[in-house]
Amino acid sequence: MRIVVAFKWAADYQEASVNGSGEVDWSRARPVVSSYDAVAIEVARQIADAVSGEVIGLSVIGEPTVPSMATKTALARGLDRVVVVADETLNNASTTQTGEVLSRAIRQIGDVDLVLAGDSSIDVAAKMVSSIAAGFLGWPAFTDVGNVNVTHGSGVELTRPTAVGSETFTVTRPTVVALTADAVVARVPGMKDILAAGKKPVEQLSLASLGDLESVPYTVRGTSRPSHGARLQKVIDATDTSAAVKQLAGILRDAGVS
Amino acid sequence: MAADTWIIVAGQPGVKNLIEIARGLTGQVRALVVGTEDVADTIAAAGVDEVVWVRPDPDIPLEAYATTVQSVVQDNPGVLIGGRNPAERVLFGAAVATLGAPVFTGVSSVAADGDDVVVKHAAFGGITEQTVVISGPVGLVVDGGGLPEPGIAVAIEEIAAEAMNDVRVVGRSESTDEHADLASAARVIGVGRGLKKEEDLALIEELAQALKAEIGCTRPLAEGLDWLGRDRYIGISGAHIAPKLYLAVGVSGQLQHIDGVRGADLIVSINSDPRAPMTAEADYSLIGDLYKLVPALTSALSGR
Ligand SMILES: Cc1cc2nc3c(=O)[nH]c(=O)nc-3n(C[C@H](O)[C@H](O)[C@H](O)COP(=O)(O)OP(=O)(O)OC[C@H]3O[C@@H](n4cnc5c(N)ncnc54)[C@H](O)[C@@H]3O)c2cc1C
Ligand SMILES: Nc1ncnc2c1ncn2[C@@H]1O[C@H](COP(=O)(O)O)[C@@H](O)[C@H]1O
Repeated sequence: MRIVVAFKWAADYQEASVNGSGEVDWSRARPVVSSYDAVAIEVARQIADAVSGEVIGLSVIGEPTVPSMATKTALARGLDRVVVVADETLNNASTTQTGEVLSRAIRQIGDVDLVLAGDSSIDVAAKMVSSIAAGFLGWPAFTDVGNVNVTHGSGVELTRPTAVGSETFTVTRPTVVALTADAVVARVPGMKDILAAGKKPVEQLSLASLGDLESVPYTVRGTSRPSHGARLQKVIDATDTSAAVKQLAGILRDAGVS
Repeated sequence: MAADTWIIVAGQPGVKNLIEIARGLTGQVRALVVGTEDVADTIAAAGVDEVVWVRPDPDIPLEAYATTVQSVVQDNPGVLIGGRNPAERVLFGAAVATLGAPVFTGVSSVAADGDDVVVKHAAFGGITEQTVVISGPVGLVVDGGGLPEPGIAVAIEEIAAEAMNDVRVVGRSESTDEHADLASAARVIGVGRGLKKEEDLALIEELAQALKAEIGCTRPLAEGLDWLGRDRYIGISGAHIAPKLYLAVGVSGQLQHIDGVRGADLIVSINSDPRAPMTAEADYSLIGDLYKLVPALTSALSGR
C-alpha cells in the first residue's frame, strides 16, 4: 500500500509581524513541518507498519532549492522518502495552485492508494488544499477525520465527528483524507531518526514536468491592518475582587447583557 | 464578468451569509443543494434564482457526490460560494478545482468591478486583510450565518445523484452531550487553559447559569483535553460566534481563537496575566485569578 502525506514546510503566523499597512514580515518566523501534517505523517507511519506499506512525503515549496531542513525534519518523523516540487514561481502559490500541483505530483508518483493531509496549515490555514487536490484528482476527500483503519480489504475505514456524535464509514481506495490535530500524538524524532533521515531518498520534481497548470491567477491590490483593534481595551484592576466584579456586573447591566 | 454565482449547500440550510454575499454581485444566484428535500425546500425559499438538487443516499456521506457537483458547475465559470462545515468544504473544493478558481477564506466583502471581481478577506489567520482582484472564476468560503429568511419559493430541479467510489456509513454514534448552539447564543463564556482541572468546569457552569450563557472553549480543551465537546470550541478551526457578550475566562487570546469571536458586540476577559494578548482583544479585562473572580462574579450576578 502506497501512502502519500502532503506536508507543508511553513512558519506559524503567530511568529510573523504585521506592519501598519497590513504587510506581513515572515523573516523572523522559523519554518516547521506544519503541526497537523506531523500528525498525518504519524498516522501514515502506523498504517504502513501494520500493512507493510510505503509512506511518501510530498511538499510544494516556493523556493528554487529544497531546504534540507524541510526534508530532513519530515523524514525523521517516519517517512520512507520525500518528493518535493520546489519552484520560485510557487512562492505565495494560491491554495488552488497548491492543490493542483499536489494532484499532478500524486499522479506522477503513481499507484497511490491513500493521500493523507492535515486539516489546516499553520500559515494560510484555509483548510481547503486537500479537498481541492482531491477535486483535481477526481477522488473523494474527507476532512476532520480522527481515525483511519485500513484492515478492511480494498477499503479504508474512517471515523469523524458529526454535529451529534460521530460517524464511521468505509471508502474504497484511492481517497484523500485530512486529519484532525488529535488523531494521534506525533512522535518526537530522536537522534537515531534524525541521523537515518539524512540517508533517505529525496526526489525533486520540476514544475515544468507536471505540465501547464489550469488554476486561474489573481492579483493582490492591497493589504490593510484588520480593524478589530477597535476594542475599548480597558483594564479593571482586580486586586479587590468584590469591587472589580461589582464594576463588571454594572458594565454588563448597562450593556444590557446580564 | 457579469458572473453568475453558485452557492454550494451541503446537508444543512444555514447559509444566510452566503446568499447575502452572492446578492451583492450582479448576475443570477444559483444554489446547488446536496441534502434532504427539507434542505432543498428551505433554500428554494431563501431568495435564490434557481435550485439544483442532488438527493443523497442517507447511508452515503455527502462528500461522495463531489463529481456530481463538478458536472453541474463545470460549464458556468463564475463565483462559487461555500460554507465552512466539512462536507461543504469538500464539495466546494471539488467545484473550485473544476474551474481552477482561486479560493479565499474569511471573506468580508465582494464586489463586481467591470469584468473583475474584487474580494476583501482576512489572510493568514486574520493577521492581515487583503484586497484581491480576480478576472475569472473565483471561490469564496463564507461563514454560514444561520437560516435565511423565508420568502417566495423558486422551482427545484432534481438531478441524478451519482456517488463516487464505494462509500458507505457503517456506524453512527450519538454523544450524550447536549448539542451546543454557540452560533445563535446571545451570551457565550469561553473557557481556556487557565482552568486547572476538569472538575473546575463546575465554576464555569454556575457562572453560565447566572448569565444565561452558553459555554464555549479554546481548542486545547476540546481537542486534547477532551473536557468539552468539539462543537464547543471557538476559533479559526472551530465555531465562529457573534454574541452580545463574549466572556473569555483563562483564555490567552491567540489569533486562531480570536478569529472566531470578532463578531461579538462586547468582549470581556478574565486573565491573571495583564500581558496576555486577550487584553488587547477585549473591551474590558479583569486582571486576576479566575478562581477568585468567577465565583465572585457568579454571586454578584445572582445576588440581584
Ligand atoms: C492551525 C491552528 C489552528 C488553531 N485553531 C484554533 C481554534 O480554532 N481555536 C482555538 O481556541 N485555538 C486554536 N489553535 C490553538 C491556539 O493557537 C492556542 O494554542 C489556543 O487558543 C490557546 O488556548 P488557551 O488560551 O486555552 O491556552 P493558553 O494559551 O495556555 O492560555 C491560558 C491563559 O490562562 C491564563 N491563566 C492561567 N491561570 C489563570 C488563572 N488562575 N486565572 C486567570 N487566568 C489564568 C494564562 O495567563 C493564559 O493567558 C490553533 C492552532 C493552530 C496551529
Ligand atoms: N505547500 C504545501 N505542500 C504540501 N502540502 C500542503 C501544502 N499546503 C497545504 N498542504 C496540505 O493541505 C493541508 C491544508 O492546508 P490549508 O488548506 O492551507 O489549510 C495541510 O495540512 C497540508 O497537508
